[in-house]
Amino acid sequence: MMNSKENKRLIVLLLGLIAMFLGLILYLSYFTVFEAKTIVDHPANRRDSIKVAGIKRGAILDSKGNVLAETVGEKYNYTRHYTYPRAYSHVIGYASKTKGRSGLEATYNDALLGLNSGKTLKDLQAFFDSDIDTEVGDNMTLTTNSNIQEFVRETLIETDKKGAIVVMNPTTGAILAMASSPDFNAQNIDQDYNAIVEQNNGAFFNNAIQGGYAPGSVFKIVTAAAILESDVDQSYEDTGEEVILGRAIKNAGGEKYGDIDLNEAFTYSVNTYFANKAVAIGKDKFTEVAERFMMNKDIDFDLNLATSTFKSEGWDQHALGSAAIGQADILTTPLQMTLITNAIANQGKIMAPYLVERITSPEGATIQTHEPTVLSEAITPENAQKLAEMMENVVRQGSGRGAQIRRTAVAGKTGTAQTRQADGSYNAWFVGFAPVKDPKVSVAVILQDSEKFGGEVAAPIAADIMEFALGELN
Amino acid sequence: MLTRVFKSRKPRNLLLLFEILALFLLFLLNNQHIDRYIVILFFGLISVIYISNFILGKISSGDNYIFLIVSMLLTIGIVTIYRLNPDTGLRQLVWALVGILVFYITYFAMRGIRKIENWAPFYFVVALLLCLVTLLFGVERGGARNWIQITNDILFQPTEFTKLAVVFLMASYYAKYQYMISRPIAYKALLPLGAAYLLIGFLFIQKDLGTAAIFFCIFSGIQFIYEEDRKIILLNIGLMLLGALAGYFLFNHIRVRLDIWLNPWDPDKIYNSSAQIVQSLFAIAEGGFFGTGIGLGNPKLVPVGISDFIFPVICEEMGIFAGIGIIMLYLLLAYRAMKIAMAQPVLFYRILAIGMAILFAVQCFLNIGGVIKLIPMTGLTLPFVSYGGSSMLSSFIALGVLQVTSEDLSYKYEGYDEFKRK
Repeated sequence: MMNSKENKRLIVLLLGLIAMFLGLILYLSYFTVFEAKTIVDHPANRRDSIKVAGIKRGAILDSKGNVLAETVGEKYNYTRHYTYPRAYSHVIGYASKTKGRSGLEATYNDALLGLNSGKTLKDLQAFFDSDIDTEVGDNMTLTTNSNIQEFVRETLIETDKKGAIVVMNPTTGAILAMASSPDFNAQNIDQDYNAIVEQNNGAFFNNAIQGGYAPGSVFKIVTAAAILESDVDQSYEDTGEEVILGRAIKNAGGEKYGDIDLNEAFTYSVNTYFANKAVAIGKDKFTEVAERFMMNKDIDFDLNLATSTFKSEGWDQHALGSAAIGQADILTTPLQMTLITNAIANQGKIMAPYLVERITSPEGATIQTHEPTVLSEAITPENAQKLAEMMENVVRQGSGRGAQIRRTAVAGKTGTAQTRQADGSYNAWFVGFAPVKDPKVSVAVILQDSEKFGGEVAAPIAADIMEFALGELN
Repeated sequence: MLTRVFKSRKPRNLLLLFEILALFLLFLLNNQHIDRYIVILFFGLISVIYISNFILGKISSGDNYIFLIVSMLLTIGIVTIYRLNPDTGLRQLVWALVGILVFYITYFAMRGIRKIENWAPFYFVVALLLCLVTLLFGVERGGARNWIQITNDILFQPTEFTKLAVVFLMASYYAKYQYMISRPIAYKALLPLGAAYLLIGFLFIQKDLGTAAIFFCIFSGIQFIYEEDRKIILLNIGLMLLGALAGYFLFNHIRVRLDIWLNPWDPDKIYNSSAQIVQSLFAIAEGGFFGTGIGLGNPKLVPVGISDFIFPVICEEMGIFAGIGIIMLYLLLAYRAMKIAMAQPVLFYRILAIGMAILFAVQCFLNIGGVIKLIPMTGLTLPFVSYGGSSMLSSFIALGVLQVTSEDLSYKYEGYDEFKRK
């Protein structure tokens, strides 16, 4: 029989073998828990593309049921067809075998491939009837109106400027149109992709949701809301400049307005007034109000929306005064400025913005619908009413007269933000809504590197768009 | 009925359940109607495995679990290969059948033939001849020159059997031969060392690193337990390090293997030299813990998925839980073999059992460790699971040997005491 030395060595050997096996099991578990997720996304893994090639991607429709994107062709040889390849280039984006996906094609990829909806019943039917193809994605209906979308896109491209336009329904948060300039042709993405990357002028960049702009005077809506909420004295004597900490904040064009109140200061966009009052309100209150307008907040949206920032931590009083007129460390997206406008149009409530109205199965059953939800109660209905009247004055007799349209009262605010580049080059803004009594459409327009003020270039564009949109919606 | 199967104390009923479920999924995948193939597979697989487990329980007084463990491995292998390619799956079923036959032949032959522990020089000559034959007539397949082409279709891998010869050689040397050397040789402990390194050298030339590693492990493991001159063990380790270094600088294919292991994601290599390991990792990663389900993955993307890379294929569709299950089965097999060794009174058979334990365990470790990138790839099959006749036959011979060693063999030895060591 075995002696004890032999026995001991045998057990050492066995333990060695067991350690080897445990090593395998531990490494395999480690790999699956920590490494597998990143490894499956490696481009050399063809599983995803094989699966996708066999699925008929769902169609995308606008709010009137017009087809915006659809998949045609034979199984494993499908092609994606876009009805408005340029107008919707940033909203819908593209789904390419070689260049990947962007826009809603990327965010709603799983739904469009039908990966979210249960298919048990259909699988069962397909088992008995081979004509049934279970690999068909879900369809998606957007909130947009393609006539408005095309009009907005044409109008923006005609300015020959970089910029963005957002058109929304302020009472629901539905996006009616959204355009960014420059854009690209989603249909030809496979051919054009490399050239667009090489040109590097931001054609893939959706300025409406990704562009961070100094808001300039349009931010006075927020400042005015903060003034209304706090009990600071609303009267002021304007001398053309307001000196804070030794540095002066001046009015545009060197104007002097004398004795004014909030309404006049807002109507004529008097910088000195707002700088003075912001200092009186104080940083904390101003920040609190700005955050109720969703500054510094991540907003859940169908596309990747950049967070608009109001970084007030390190501000001294001069920076606070600059912030009151939309300079300093404030960066907003055009969509964010539309949301701020919507708060005024919608009795103080900001509705969550959305682009996808509903998702339906190929058979027509509804899988998911969007219910309008309140994102933030920014201000009281009374203050919203007062601000709406002030914004109406802006368009009737103030800096936003260019935004007037026939037979309908428009409320709005102009902005002209200095950019860091050269003097005489501005970001021209206009935000507004109409009709004032029963708002149906709100709009934000921004044109980059403009030689003219917001009231001169952005307001007339906004007027055209609101007039067209109201006509479309009636 | 199902509860009866689950409650059954006989594990072979659970095995039957697994087979029925797996075959049902295969039926859904490949056939929308009942055809010849699936019927042959269904009845072939179930009867072969179920019946041989039953017969073995009747005839062998030894360990009845090792064959059951192998039955499970065999089932997983055949199901996976059939899923990849039904024709190959059926051929694997035939090989399994032949393997089981060889298992019984080995079993009865080992029981019948006496004094096989005296044949150390014979085992050495067999091992050497198999190596020489490969060296002279070998053709290269899959990066290693270790195949003999018999006809156009039939390839034969002699190294699969050399492994067994090495186990027998070491067992007979340490059990008997070292006491039979009449003339006193100064360093007789160098004899097995020299023999082992000669064979390993041949394998290096054939680029068959995996088998070389197995030889080394079998030799070192048995040496660790039975070599009385402990200095020789240190010499062995020293030689191994030296040999590994020399191999690294002498042979380009070793450097390539190492480089693939360290930088598989290099864009220059990802579609050629490291494609195997990268696709293997994708398959395992896609499967996750529970797998995609049989028929729902893309295991055909894994190169040589039926033989060397069958483990990632299994993991993709059955999950790493099945993968871990397979590792555990080999662990159990190695553990049973060691347990058999501890209970075996005859030294020669004891060493044989230890040798088979090391053989199965190391081969499993080198194969699975290679495909999950824990260690460099060595190009070995997974015993009983991978497709291949040579591998299947040699594995079943090893199992037959193990079955014999699990029994009381004292009837073979009238002068039994002379074989006891102290």
